[in-house]
Amino acid sequence: MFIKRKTKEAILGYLFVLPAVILIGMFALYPIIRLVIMSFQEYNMLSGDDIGNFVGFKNYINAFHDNDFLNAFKNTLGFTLIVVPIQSLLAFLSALLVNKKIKGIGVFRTIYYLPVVMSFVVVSIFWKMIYDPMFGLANSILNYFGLESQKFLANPNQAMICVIIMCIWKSWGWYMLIFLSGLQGISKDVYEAAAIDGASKFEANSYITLPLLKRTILFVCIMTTMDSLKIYTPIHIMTSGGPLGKTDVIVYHIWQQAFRFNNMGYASALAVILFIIILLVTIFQLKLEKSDY
Amino acid sequence: MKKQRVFKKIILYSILVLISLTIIVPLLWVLVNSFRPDEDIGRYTKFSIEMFFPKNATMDNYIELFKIYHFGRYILNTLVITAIVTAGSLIINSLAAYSFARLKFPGRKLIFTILLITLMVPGEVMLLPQFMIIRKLDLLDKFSALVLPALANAFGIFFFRQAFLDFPSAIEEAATIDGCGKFRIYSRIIMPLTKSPIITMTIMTITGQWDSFIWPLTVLRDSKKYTIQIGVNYLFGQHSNQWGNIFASAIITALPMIILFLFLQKYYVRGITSSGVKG
Repeated sequence: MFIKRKTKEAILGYLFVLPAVILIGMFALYPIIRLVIMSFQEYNMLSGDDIGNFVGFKNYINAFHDNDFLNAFKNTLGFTLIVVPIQSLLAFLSALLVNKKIKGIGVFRTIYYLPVVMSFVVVSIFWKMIYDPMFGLANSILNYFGLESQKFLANPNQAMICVIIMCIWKSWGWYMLIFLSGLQGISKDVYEAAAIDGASKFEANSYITLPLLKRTILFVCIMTTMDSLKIYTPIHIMTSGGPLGKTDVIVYHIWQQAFRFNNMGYASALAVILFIIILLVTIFQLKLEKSDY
Repeated sequence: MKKQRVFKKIILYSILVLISLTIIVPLLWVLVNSFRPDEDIGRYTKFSIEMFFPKNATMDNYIELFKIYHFGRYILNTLVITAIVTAGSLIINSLAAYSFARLKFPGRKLIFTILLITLMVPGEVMLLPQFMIIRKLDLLDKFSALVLPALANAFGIFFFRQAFLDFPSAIEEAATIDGCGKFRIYSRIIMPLTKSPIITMTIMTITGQWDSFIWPLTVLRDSKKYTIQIGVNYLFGQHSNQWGNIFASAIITALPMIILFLFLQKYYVRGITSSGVKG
């Protein structure tokens, strides 16, 4: 009787996970294996072939001779190196601000979070209009302060900065809330003790808040890095990678290769390379989390 | 001393208001322009009060979205897909999570770990093989191409499992003694008592589906099947000089998510704290 109940529980256990296992297996696990295989193949997408010819490491070797990909790689790296520190710092400072217990602070938190709940498509369109050289808000403001009109997204030297400003505008509120929930986890006693010992506000923040928040800081930096490496939608909508390839990024390049130029095998190799980069960031994160740094 | 405190408060509020303006001014500009005829959008470009109060306010931009640009269909498509995915993934993920949290079966840990591997691979990377599979299954241009891959995911299972593990098992033991079966415990006891995680997850799924862009962009060609984000993008690409309509379409697309957020704010915050961050 006892054994029978155990077997019954096991059968139910398998039954309950079965739908999830089948779906995840089909649309998440199998695709990982398939992606690696595809990266060693060449496809004729137009004839609708599902099986490609093996070409060894050709796709990977091509990637390192493909100037457009190297350019996209460089742009993505530049984008990440600018966005991660600026956005994290903005989020942290604003979290300190909205952590103050004053009247109406909830309203400010809500306002700061508004861009986060709008989709990237919507925000990209907003900002494409804002940057419009003919009627855009950005030039109106510049003119108001007596500055000259700019071309923004049409100017190769300004386009990437414009995309960066838009991305930070959309996302910092999300990281602000993460910092805020970290800040609220710190007990007030610590600050009171520091105040009694004669520490200034600045000292308290740099010697208490920062060390106690290091896990949150790490989490935010890693998340921002991942998001930046995978940036796609704003580029698709605002610049199509231009002008002069100045805003071409890795995922945009992969998508173009796969679905516009039908180089499915080559695009897969690029996707594997992107995955390896992201995996390295993940491993770095896990290592740091385990060691008590 | 008191004077100094008031002064500090004024500075604090000024900074808070200044940051708010960087968000509100662009939003207001878009909103106002969505009520303007096209020729007015190019006219009021001087940064002044006039810029933020439409003179010849009109609803035409919005009406045309539905009459000419099929936004009714896009919204309906998105609502149907979102509803199916939200309900389906809620049941499938939570049932699996309950099994992983409470039932004992050989290989439980191993299966769970293997599922978690998929969390490390970003969707942007999976796009290509997923496209090949959907094409092979002949599901391109079908709603099931959007629904099936979204019905189960490791994050959802992980999320619910965490919630169930926090749940005291004494109630379940009492129910078992009373002769209650495992599925009844799941559906009658566990689920009704995990309301808050369910709402949090539901919001995440709804916003994820409503905002979804790169995947529908990849598998949909037929404009009758477009979801809202693809519809906006299409309007923006094909009729780029219809400024008023574009402004209105962006507002219409953003509005439901803003309303959802304003009403259910506390669950958004819970979603953040539950995503595994600790200070």
